[in-house]
Amino acid sequence: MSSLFAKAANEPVVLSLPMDGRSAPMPWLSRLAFAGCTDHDSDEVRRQKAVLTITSLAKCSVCPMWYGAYYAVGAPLAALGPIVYQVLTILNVLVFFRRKDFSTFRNVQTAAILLAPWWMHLALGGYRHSAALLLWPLLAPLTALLFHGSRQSLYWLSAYFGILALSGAADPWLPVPATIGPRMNLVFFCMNLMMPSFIAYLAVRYYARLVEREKQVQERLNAEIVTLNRRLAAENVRLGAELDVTRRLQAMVLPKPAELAKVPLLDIAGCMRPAEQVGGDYYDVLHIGSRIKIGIGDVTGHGLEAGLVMLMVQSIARTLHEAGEYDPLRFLRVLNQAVYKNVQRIQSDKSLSLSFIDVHSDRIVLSGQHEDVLLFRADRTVERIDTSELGFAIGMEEDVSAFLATRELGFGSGDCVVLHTDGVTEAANAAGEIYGIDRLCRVVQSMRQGSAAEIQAAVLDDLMSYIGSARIRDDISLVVIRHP
Amino acid sequence: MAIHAISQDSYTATWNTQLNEVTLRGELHLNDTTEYAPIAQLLESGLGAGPVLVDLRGLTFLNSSGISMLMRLAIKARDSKGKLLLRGSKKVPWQSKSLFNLRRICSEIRIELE
Repeated sequence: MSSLFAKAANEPVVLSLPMDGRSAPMPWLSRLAFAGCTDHDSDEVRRQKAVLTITSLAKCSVCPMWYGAYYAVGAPLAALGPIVYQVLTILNVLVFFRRKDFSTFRNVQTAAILLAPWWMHLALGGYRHSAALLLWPLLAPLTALLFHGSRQSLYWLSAYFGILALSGAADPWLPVPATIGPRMNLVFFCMNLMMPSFIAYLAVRYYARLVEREKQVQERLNAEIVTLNRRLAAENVRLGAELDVTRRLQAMVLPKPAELAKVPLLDIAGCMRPAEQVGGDYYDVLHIGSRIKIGIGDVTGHGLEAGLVMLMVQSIARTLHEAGEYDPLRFLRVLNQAVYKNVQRIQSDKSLSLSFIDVHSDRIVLSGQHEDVLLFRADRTVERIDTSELGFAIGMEEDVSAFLATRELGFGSGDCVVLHTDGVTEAANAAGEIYGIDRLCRVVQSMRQGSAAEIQAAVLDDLMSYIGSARIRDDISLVVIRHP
Repeated sequence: MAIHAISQDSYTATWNTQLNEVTLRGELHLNDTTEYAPIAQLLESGLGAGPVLVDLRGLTFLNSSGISMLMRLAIKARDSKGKLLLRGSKKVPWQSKSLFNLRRICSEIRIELE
């Protein structure tokens, strides 16, 4: 906004307003106009200073015509008025350029506009003989209106009316120089009526144009705001739709309870609660006959891209399982390669933590790096298995075979495995304290006799009441696998 | 002494170019790589300037996107044969496990836990 005004204030159009021309920029004129300005001046003050400087000098330059005319018709006393006005204005402008004191400059200038014509009026012998010269001081309150403010202009208007009244009262006693004939008097009448009216018109017009321009700027800004708002609304709709798509995509691709119920030998419950900005949590239970493979992972970041990578991981894992790839290391190596290449193709830098559990009748085989796997034994002990040595972030490097390893653990009747994503353990309450893995273990332990679904529900209940009114920052996934 | 700093409500990241030390403090919950980019840039600038010390002792929380940023830094250090020293604290839960995990990427990375 201020830059718009700064531009306007420096444009020659403002300076040429009194002449109402669109004259070509004149560098010397511009330098002269702004000679009274300082670096601290606002654009508004700069404009006022420039306009008053230029109009004062312009009026000053036509003074010789006036005093020449009065001197020629034999009224040297009246000719003193424009002479004094001219000298005073030049001195005033010079002092103003030096001291940059706008207040004094405009006061002296307004006083000169008020008093010089009054002097001439008195010297010429009153209203009729001076040919309505007292219309000129009307420019004093008008100048005040433009450059002092509406309140101060009232004082100048009162002073003007005072002068009019005093002059009216003094009129019969004023001496009349006999030299101005009726014809010349008529010429002066015309000029004295025409010129102040014209200057007054220019002043009002100048203001009207300022208002018009400000209105235009305002309208342009309003139009810009409307466009931006519209764009923002469209963007919000797009983002909202994107999140919605991601959320649905994720929900569609996760295994349904009915499917989990069909898995032989095991009691499995899985759930995922998406965060406000859907993350990329993944879990799946793949089974062909007695070949059961359970996966859990977390794609970095949030939104559509994370959801897309999660969908890829699900498809690749399922394909590999369907294709009979039962070697956990080869499974992960190929999966990583496929994800890596796809992520490169979509020019993303997503990666994910991903662990798999191959479930056999009496043991489980862990592979891949993710959060700790929690194994609740039938004898009420808990094993926390760190998986960081079993893999590497998937999709970050083309070949992760050097990082891959498996770990075999016994899995018998009454044992229970709990898988989670960091959305569970890193969920924070209003005080910013995280839920933590210990609390998760305690809740599962307290529900050890329950079914997988009951254990899961208990953990979610506890977690949600812990989070309370705080924001859910990340997707929350929990998979419970019980060996009945 | 030149210091480049990123400061937000919940974290600060500063790079002291004279000592070539990058210090991360506070909690980092940023959403994805785009949001982590300025910090990753700071870390990579440090790594590019010679042996760099990354001080994480005051970083009490780092989410998975943040850990992935450190992993990428470790890969860069490995590929460019840069020298990287990570200083952490045993008192901060995420650090011991995640920092040693980084050494699997590149055995040249030094980890100091206080």
